[in-house]
Amino acid sequence: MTTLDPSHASEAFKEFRPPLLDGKNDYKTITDQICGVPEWSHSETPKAWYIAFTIAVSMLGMLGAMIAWLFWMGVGVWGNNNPAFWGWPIVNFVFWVGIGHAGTLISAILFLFRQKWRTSINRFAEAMTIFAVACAAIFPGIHVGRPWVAYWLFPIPNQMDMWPQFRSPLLWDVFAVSTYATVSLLFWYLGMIPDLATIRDRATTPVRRFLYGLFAMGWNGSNRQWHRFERAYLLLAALATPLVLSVHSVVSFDFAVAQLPGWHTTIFPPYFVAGAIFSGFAMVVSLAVPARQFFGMKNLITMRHLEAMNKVILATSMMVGYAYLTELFIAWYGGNPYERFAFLNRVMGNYSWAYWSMFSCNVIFPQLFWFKKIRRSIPLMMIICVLVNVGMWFERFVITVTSLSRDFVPSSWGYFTPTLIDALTFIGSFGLFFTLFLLFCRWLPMVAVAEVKADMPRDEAAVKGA
Amino acid sequence: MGHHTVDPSIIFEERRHFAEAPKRMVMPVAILGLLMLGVSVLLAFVSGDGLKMLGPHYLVAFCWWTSIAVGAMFFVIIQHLTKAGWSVVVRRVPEILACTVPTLALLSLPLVIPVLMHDGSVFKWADPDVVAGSELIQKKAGFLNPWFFLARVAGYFTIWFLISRFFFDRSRRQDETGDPEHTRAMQRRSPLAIVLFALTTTFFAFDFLMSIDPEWFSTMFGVYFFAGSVVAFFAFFALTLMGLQRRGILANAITTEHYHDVGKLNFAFVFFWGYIAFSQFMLIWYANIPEETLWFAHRTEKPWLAVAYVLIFGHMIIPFAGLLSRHVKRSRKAYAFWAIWLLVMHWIDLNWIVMPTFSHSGGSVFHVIDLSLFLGIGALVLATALKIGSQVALVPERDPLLGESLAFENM
Amino acid sequence: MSDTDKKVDLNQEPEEKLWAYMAEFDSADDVIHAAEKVRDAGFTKWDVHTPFPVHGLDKAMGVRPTILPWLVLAGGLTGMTTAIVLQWYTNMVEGPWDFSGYAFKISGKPNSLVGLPAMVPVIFELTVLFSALTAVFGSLALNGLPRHYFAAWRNRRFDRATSDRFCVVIEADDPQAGKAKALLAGLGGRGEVEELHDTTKSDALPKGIKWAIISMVLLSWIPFAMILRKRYTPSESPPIHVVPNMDWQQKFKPQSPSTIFDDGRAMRLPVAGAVARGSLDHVDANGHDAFSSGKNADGSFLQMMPIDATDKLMARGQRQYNIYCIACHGQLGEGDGLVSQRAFALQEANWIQPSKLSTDPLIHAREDGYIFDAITNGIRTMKGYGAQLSAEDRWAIVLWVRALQSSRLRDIDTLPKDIQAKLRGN
Repeated sequence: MTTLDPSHASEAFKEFRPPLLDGKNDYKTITDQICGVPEWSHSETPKAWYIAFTIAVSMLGMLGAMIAWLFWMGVGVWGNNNPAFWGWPIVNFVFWVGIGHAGTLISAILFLFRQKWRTSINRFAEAMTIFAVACAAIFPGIHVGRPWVAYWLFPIPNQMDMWPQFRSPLLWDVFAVSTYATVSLLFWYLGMIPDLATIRDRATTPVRRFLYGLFAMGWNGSNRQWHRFERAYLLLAALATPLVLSVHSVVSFDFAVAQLPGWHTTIFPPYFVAGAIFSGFAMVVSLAVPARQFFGMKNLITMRHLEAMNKVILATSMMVGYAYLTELFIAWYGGNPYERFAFLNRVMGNYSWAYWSMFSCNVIFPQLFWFKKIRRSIPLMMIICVLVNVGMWFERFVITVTSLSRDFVPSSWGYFTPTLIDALTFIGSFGLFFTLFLLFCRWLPMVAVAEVKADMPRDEAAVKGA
Repeated sequence: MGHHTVDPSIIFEERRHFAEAPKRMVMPVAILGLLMLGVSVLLAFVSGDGLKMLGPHYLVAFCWWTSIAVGAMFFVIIQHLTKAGWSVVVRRVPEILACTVPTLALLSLPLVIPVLMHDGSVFKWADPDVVAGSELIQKKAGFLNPWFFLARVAGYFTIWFLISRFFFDRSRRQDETGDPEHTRAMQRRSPLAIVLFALTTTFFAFDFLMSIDPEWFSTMFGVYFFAGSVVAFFAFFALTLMGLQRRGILANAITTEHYHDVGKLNFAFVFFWGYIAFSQFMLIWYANIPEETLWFAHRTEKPWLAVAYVLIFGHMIIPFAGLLSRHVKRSRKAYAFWAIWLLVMHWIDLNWIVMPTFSHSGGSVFHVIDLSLFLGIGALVLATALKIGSQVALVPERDPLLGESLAFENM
Repeated sequence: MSDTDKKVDLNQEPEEKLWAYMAEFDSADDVIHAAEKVRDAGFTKWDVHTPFPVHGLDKAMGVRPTILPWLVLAGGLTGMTTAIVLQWYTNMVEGPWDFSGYAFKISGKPNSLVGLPAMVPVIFELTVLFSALTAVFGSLALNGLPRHYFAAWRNRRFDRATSDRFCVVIEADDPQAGKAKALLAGLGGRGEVEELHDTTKSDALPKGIKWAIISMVLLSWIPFAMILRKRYTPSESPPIHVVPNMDWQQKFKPQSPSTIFDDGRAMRLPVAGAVARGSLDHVDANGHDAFSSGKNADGSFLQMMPIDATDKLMARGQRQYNIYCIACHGQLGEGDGLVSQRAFALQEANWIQPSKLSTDPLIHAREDGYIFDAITNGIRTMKGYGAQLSAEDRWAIVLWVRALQSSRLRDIDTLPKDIQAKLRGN
């Protein structure tokens, strides 16, 4: 066979396989660009970073204060009450876990599907996953009422002969979310080891050389190392793919194994997974747009990358819409009066404002992404992606609160009203998320250097001459 | 290294067309199909239950062959949706398989016409007496009524016909001119196609498989049918490719790498089917609401409990372990074994979905009619595929991404 | 920094020795060709250092596939087994030993393997967790990471091997090392072939770090040791209350006073006319309930129990008897329960000998309803058990008492023939 380099291939081929990166890049410019960020001095760091960091840390402080207040006073400071015992904490938990899914999707599933454009965004999407899972883990932790005995969630041998109840979906959550956090962290870290070694080898100060060297663990880029590294990476991707399906499925089991109308429906597992990916991608876009701006990554995270992500958002938006409509149809078709009432109540009852916020943000607005112009417009995609995240938060709110506040017996109906503490705790969790994210962008390789290089055209990217 | 590619003109050194013999086989195969259907009717009368017992068995065989076409259509659409390159060299086969839709539409008539005649032997909601006795079915009459059913079925097959023909025609026209505009058009239309595909497949599953138990419902059911269909399609796909290559068609162009990828997708969907099937079962089992568990109760009575275990192990755990290794996916013999295995399992799955409704107190799991109906419908579907396949090259020979597909290597 | 700049070796030790030869290349394709030549020349101790995984290099170098997938499979199976054993042990096994599991049924989910669907999520998660941990730590271990030293790091040219250069390194103790320099020089790399040096001492872990690690490991055991010591040390001082609001809960206990209600009592009576669940199940047309009272409408005791004597009921009766009655009446109904024995041993003045249920002919002669009534409402100093035991359970106990009596007072000739034969031992 005559092997052709794409640069010599037909015009049509080039049209369908445009280069992954913009502009002229070689191995050295890519290394300098990405590894240069952690090497920035204070004066080189954009002011915007300092401003954002200050805001994020203040919000994080607020989160700490809210949690301290909660521990001191008890869960009565929240709006959770009979019958809506699951209020914002569960909504926020599901929201944040969902956000995390895009990172694993990009790093694992797109990897298995050989979607090479993922290499520009996978690193910070994975980072986002870990930070989102950290935010998510807070909420059930502080919702248990006595957080100082939260370790009872784990099967630790104890003198009380007390064990967790393994037939409870809430316990499955403990295992699913902690496995997910662990595997995501390892996946992220394993992928970063070669890049940390790159920064180590470029280091001009001993402190930097020592710190990055410590975390690079002695990587020397030998091919035998790469061979095992790649195999491990592939295996992790193959493991993370079913894992990411399982995590939000297990979260959906929290609701779907119950008999409560509006919770018990079999489409929940795939529907939750699709929704999670949907919200996660929206978050990736909302983070990628400012990040490529402030850290000068526009040639790596190109408009084509953003457009591809917007297409994924459109696709998952329709999956979510499919689930909404199937639920409505089956609620009618099933003929169960409680189910019928539950869905009529969602659409037209006293929480219909939440339902329609959810529906319009998740199903209607993303339809604008059918238009190429909108997919490629920075301001519009930012607006839509933020709306998607709002909508996805409302989705969890609608599921949790409307069903709880209108169950079988009218005598137990009620109306849930959040308190200021609820709201400030949720806002505070964004503080944690952004603080971690900003630290990551500043001090770690934000783009997977080695992976980007591996997908560059070999002859064009080589650094010839001095 | 970007996307690897080779000079695509080497495809013209391959055999890309059916020989004369398969072309002459179209009529005999079709006649064989009709004969087998006739034999089935005879068998039905001989076994004493008459035409009434034929319906459910026919439904199983019909859904099996429809699911192959459905899976093929999904594959074609998704290749364009994702702008996939690796699959170009093998894409013509599913394009042709998807085009068997008109035959399937005709074959659906034996199920649709009794409904219009208010015969409830398969779809009991079509029988006015049954409806009169069930308040629950009356509530659903707005959906489950003969004329709306006919309209929907016509809708599914029309949409499927348009989708399959669109991709087939564009692809065939590109063979002649090599115009990349066809690829652009297919990529542009694929999002709409996948939306229509998702809706039609879901409601096809609701109508033909879920509504035979009109009291029962599951929001997941459309996805369940879809997952099983895609598993079966990939198995069928791999076997078809092997069959073509044994006849010297595309003998060098389709490589182990392509089988490996088909096998990976097949493996992934085995897992996906298991995930969907387990989730559906677990949620209903755990919540234990009478109107939902009844469906599973019928399917876990004798003799169906044994079939349910066969599915758990044979459709999920064993093929999962069997297809896990890359060596299996890269070995044609080993993969052929698992492909046949999965096709059998898909039939058992459909049989387990359909038959307990009609014979949940005892009854046999397999009847010789099943075989004759399977062969009868299958022969008609295959005759259609042969007829279409005889008119075209069996590879999109001027696709702009063909070079990438030929050069494709798994890491 | 210039390519040939050598790191200034501050510590000029006499053990400095040649470690390897290194050639440097610009592009991945060049290094693949170079690797093929080195492989064909038959070198064994060599490697190629690249800034990213170069596809095709494994083949060019002849690297054999790693065993990592098999390790991961083993890890996954271990995880799966762990999850099954963990759930089975903690939720399905119960025994008198320490750290025993706790077998219980909840929300109708069987605590046997029939409840397997509910165990699947955790089985799945632990399978993935163990596989992933094996993949990460297995690959690190196979790669010899973490490592604190690599001889080539002493050379500044090698720094760019993680950035934009591709380096072939042949070690000096390769059997064919003599040919290495010439071969590398002929491969068309950039610059000259570099001789990499090493010292014999430099790969030892610095002493300070070694001792720091050892002492940290030892120190980390101290808290555990302290906990263990506390667990096995008896103490006179009151326990530490970690969770005071669980230990002292704000609630009313039975018989305690309350300021909320007019009558000053915390315990409340049921609302007038309230009927307990199931209490009307056995009421006949005249409003009389013989089943729950053990009496006929005229107030006389039922002669026969109004419930079928089955093996199941007998077993139930034995079980309930052994819970509620055994303490005083004894296991065989001889009035010698442990409480009674203790009371006599202490010479309690008010203690009355409990009835000898199985051997007292007077009780044997009484109606079933009489025994039932005694259980329900109590008799002499015995309290009534009507509140604790359902009517059915009380009849079951009656049946068991009758069985105990049969074992003592019944004439063997009244038994069925086969049982007679069995008891007589032929």
